Amino acid sequence: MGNWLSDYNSELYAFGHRIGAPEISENEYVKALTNESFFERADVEEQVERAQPGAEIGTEHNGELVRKGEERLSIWLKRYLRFHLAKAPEELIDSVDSHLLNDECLAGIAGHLGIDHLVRTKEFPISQQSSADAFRALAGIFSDEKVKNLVIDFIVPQLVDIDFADIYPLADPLAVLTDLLKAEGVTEIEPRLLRSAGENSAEPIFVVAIYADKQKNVGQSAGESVTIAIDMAAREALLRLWNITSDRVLFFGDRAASVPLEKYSEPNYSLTKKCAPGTNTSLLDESQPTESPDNLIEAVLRYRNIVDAEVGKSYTKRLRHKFSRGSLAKRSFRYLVKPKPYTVA
Amino acid sequence: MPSVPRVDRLKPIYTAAKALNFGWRFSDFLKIPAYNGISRYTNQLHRITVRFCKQSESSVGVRNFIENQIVEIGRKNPSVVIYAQPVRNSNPSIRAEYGNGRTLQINAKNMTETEVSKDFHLLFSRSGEPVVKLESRQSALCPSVQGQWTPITWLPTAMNTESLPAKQFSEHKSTATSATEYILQNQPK
Amino acid sequence: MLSRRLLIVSQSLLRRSSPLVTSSVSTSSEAQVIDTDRIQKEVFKSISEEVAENQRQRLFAVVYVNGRQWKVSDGDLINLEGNLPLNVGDEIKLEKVLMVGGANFSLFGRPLLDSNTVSVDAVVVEKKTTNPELKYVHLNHHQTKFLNWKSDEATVLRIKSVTAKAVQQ
Repeated sequence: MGNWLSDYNSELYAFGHRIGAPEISENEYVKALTNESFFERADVEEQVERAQPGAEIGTEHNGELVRKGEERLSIWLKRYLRFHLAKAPEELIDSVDSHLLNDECLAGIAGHLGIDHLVRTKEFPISQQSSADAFRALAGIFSDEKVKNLVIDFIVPQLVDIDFADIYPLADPLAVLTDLLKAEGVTEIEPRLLRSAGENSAEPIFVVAIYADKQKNVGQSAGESVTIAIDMAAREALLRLWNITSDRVLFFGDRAASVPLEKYSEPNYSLTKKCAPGTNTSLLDESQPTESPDNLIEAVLRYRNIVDAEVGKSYTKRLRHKFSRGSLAKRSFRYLVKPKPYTVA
Repeated sequence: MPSVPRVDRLKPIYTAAKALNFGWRFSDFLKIPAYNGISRYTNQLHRITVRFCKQSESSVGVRNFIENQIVEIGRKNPSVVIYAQPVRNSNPSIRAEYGNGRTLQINAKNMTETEVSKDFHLLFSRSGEPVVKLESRQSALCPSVQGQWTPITWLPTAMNTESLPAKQFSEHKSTATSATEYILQNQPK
Repeated sequence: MLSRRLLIVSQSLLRRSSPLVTSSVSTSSEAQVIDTDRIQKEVFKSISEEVAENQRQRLFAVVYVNGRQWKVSDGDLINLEGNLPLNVGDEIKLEKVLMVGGANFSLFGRPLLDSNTVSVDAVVVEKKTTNPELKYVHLNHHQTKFLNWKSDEATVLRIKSVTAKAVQQ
C-alpha cells in the first residue's frame, strides 16, 4: 500500500523544514541528494519526459559534497566527544567517531529523516552507502553552525546506546592500565579475586578487582573465568580512569549547543605514545572465532562426565518416565484433540 | 484440567506473526523511533495522503475538511507534505507515512468533518510505532543510578573462605534484645 | 558489573530524623537527641557542593505526574494516560518532585522539593491511542451480550534532563 504519488518540490520543502534548514535553496538540496549513478539511469540518459522530478533542476552529483560533509561531521563530532570524554585517549575518540559515522548508522538516521525517498539514484532499493552519502552531502551544503546542530540533533543521541568497553576493545587492557597508573605514580597493580560462585557449573562467576598500591580499588568486574574477569575488570578500570562511567550524562540539545565546542579542536593524548614502547595497545581481532569446535565437544563431555557426576540430575529428570503422563494429545480430553490423519497408500 | 482447547486457526501463520517484530506484535515495551526527543524533537510524520471521491456521499466529510481546514494545517506543519488525491468510486481514506517506514491508513467513510479533523490530528501526533499492549508504562536508558542489588553486593567477605554450613552464618537474627546483650550494652556504673 | 558507592556523609546523617545505630548485632538502645539543625546544614552543604562541582552527574528524581509517582532519569520515556492539553513537541517542566538522588546522595522532600532546586525537563514526544482492550460483563450461564472495544488516549513524554542546583534550607 505504497504512496506512488509524490511532488518532489513539496517533499524537498518539507524536508528542509524537518532537518531544520528551510533557508537553503532547492537547487542545493537537489545537488546534495543526487547520486553519481543517477545519470546512468536509462530514462535519464534518454531524457524521457518526467523521468525523474528534479532532472531539469540539477545536473551535478554529490561526490564532492560527500567528502566535504564527511570531514565536517567528523570535526564536530570529535569536538563534542573531546569535551565529554576529556581524559580519554585520541584512539578511543577515533573509534567512537568512526563507529557513529559509519554507513550503517548514518543510513539509519537518513531513513528516519525521509532521505531515502528523496535521493536521486539508479539503484532500487537504495543502498546503505548511497543513503549515508546523501546525509554526508547534506553536511557539505550546510553552514558550519548548521552542521554543528545536525551533529548534536541527530548523530549524538546514538551515543546513548554505545557500550564504551566494546567500542574500543583493547587486546591487553591490564598492561595498558599498568602503564597509565605507573605514569600517575602507582607502584603496585594487582588483580584480586573477590568472590566466586558455581565454579563447576554451567554458569560460573568470578568477581575480580584491580587494586592499586594494595589499597585502592580502581576497577571491578565479573566474568565467566578468572582470565575473562581480569580483562573485564581492567577495562572497567580504564573507563573509570578516563571518567567514562554510567553515572555521567552527556549534554544533549540546548545544553550541548551552549558549550563552546570549538575550543576542543586539539586532539587528546595518544595512548601509544603515553604507554611504554613494549605495551600492546592493539585492539581485539573480532574476525577470528575464539573457540574451536573441539573445545565445544570437550566442554560438553566435561559437563556430562565431571559436573553431572557431582551435581547430579534433578529428581523429576531422573524419574522422567514416572513423571510423564503422556503427550498433549494423550493428556487432553478426546473431544478437544483434532484427529491426525494418516495416509494409507 | 484439560489443555487449552484448540481453535481452528491458521496456526503456523498466527504463531509466526506472534514472533515477528513487525506490525503483528501484540505486546512490547514503550519505544520511540530514532531517539526522538533526546536532543531535539522532530515530527515523525513525513507525508499524509487524503484519498476521496468527488461524487459519493461517503466522502462528504473529507471533502469539507479539504475545503476548510487542510490548508491551515499544512501551513502550521511545514515539515509534513499533504496530498489530496481524488479517486473515483473509492472509499475515502487517510494514509500517513512515518519516519520508521510504516504506513497507517484510516478509513474515513461516512465520517463528518470534525471526525476527519480529529483523526487527521491524531496521525500528526503519532510516532509511527505500532499500537501494542505496553509491558510497562516506562522505559529507561540507564537501569540504575545508585547501583543494582545483586546477591553478591553486600555479601560479607568472611563468607568467601568459609565452607557452609558455618555456625556464625546459621544464627537466628532477631530485633529483640537478649538478656546478655542488654547487660553488655547497659553496663552498670 | 559492580560499582562501589562512596558515601560522602555517614549513613546516619543521610536520614533527616534522629539516627538509629545500625549494626549486624541487634540492639535496641535509646534514641539519641542530636543537633538536627547543624547536621542538616552540613548535609545540605556537602550535597550542594557535590552537585555544583559535577554538572554532568546522572541524577534520578521521583516525580508525581497524573496521579502516579515515576522514578525518572535523563532520557527516560513515560506513558501518561489521557489526552493532556499539550501539543506534540512542547517542552515542559515537571514541578512535583518528591525526591532526587545521585550516585552518592539522596535528597527527600517533605513531601515536595523546591522547584528551584531540582528541575526535571521533559518534552512531549507522542500522543497516541492505546491498544484496544475488551470491556465486557459476563454472567455465568449467560452469553456475553455487550462487548466494548475500548481504546484510551495516551501521551508519551521523554525526560530530557534532571538537574539540581545548590540546596538551600
